[in-house]
Amino acid sequence: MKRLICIMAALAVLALLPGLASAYEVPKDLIIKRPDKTPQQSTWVGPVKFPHGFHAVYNSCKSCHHEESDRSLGQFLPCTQCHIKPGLDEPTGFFRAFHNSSPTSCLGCHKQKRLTKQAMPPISCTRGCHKKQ
Amino acid sequence: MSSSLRVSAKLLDRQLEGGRMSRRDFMKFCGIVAAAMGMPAAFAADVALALETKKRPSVIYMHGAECTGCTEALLRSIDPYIDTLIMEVISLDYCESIMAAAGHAAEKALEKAMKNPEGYFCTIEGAIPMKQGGVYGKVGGETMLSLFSRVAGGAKGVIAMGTCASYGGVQAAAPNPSGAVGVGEAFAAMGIKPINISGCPPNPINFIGTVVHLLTKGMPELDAVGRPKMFFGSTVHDKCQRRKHFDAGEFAPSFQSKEAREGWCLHLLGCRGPYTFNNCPTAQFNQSNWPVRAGAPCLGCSEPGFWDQYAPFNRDVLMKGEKA
Repeated sequence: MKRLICIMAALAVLALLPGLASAYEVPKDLIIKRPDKTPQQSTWVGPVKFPHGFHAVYNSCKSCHHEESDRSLGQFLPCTQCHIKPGLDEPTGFFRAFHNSSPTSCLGCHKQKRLTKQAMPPISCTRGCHKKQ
Repeated sequence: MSSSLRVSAKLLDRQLEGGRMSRRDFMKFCGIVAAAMGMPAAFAADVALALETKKRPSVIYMHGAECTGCTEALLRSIDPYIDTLIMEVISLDYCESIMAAAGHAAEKALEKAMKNPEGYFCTIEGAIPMKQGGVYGKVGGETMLSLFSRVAGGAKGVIAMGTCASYGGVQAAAPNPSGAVGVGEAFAAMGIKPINISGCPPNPINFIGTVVHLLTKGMPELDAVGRPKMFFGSTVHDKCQRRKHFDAGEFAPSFQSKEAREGWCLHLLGCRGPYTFNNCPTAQFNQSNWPVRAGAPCLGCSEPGFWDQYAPFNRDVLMKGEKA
């Protein structure tokens, strides 16, 4: 009986998969740019090429789009929708959105994945996200 | 005045004064603690009030698997000196490194301190060996695991002093033969959530500031890995004196180079500052200096996973597929 339930559940998930895939069509690559009103911090750090599709395969949407819920799906898309304040110390500012210890930020998540030995995402400034030529 | 001259001058002053802290020095210390806690200067008066009017809190300081470096850092605290700290600010009722008692007398002192009707704070320095029931670390014939669980279990608050006590640190580095873990992990089942004052060693001001916060305002706000946000809220990189060179793309090519001496960024020489949360650049050690300013890159010592996570040092952090 248990086996039958397992098989049925697996079949149900398989049947739903194509639907899920089409519902969550996401952009493959993105460029993250500094908002116009945020002053440039450094001379060499430019827009960051962000492989969005790659991240979407390994993480749930909510792990980065942390304000999203099933109801608000699609309402909180780019990080800069909220995180636009300038300054390194601004807790919810543009810089901190990507560089803080919480797993919703790039740096926090990359560090956590390394710590728990799930993966080896880059954390080096110049060889990771901000490639210095 | 250079830092070393300042320290010598202070030592001379102290010898002339005959030891006790002057009111001026005490208020200055309260100001430093308030500043480290991110409070306005006026908060110094509150700090002074808390330290003067309340009965000195009893602190039991346990040593686990460690190198005593954290105690050594605390002993070298200038503002205040360690004797002022333990005579006038806290009541250090048990600390193997600096207590006069030894053997059975020391054990009696511990039992007496644990029966203090007003309670006590427990500070643990060093990781706790867990393998084979914790036999790899014993104090007075009792395993550290058992002894610390008794002391920490009855405490009003537990402070994990240093990275080893916070997350395992060097003791937990591969292959970790003794199965050492941090205090939080060792006693998670007992519901003990320590305040992690991580660092190798941590800045004494972070320990003192945490004690002051517990006295004045209660439990400090902690980050995701249990560190007080007031000290571990920003990265070493954010407030670094070499930051302007990072922003300008000026990276020192070697330790011997002219650029390194001129204060260029040590990113390519293995600085872990951008992903290490601590207040080294602003608090500085003994208010004098700190590693990056002195020319040594940050090792990321206050982060969970130090040592394995960030080794090998003195080179940029490893990328996927790279070998040490």
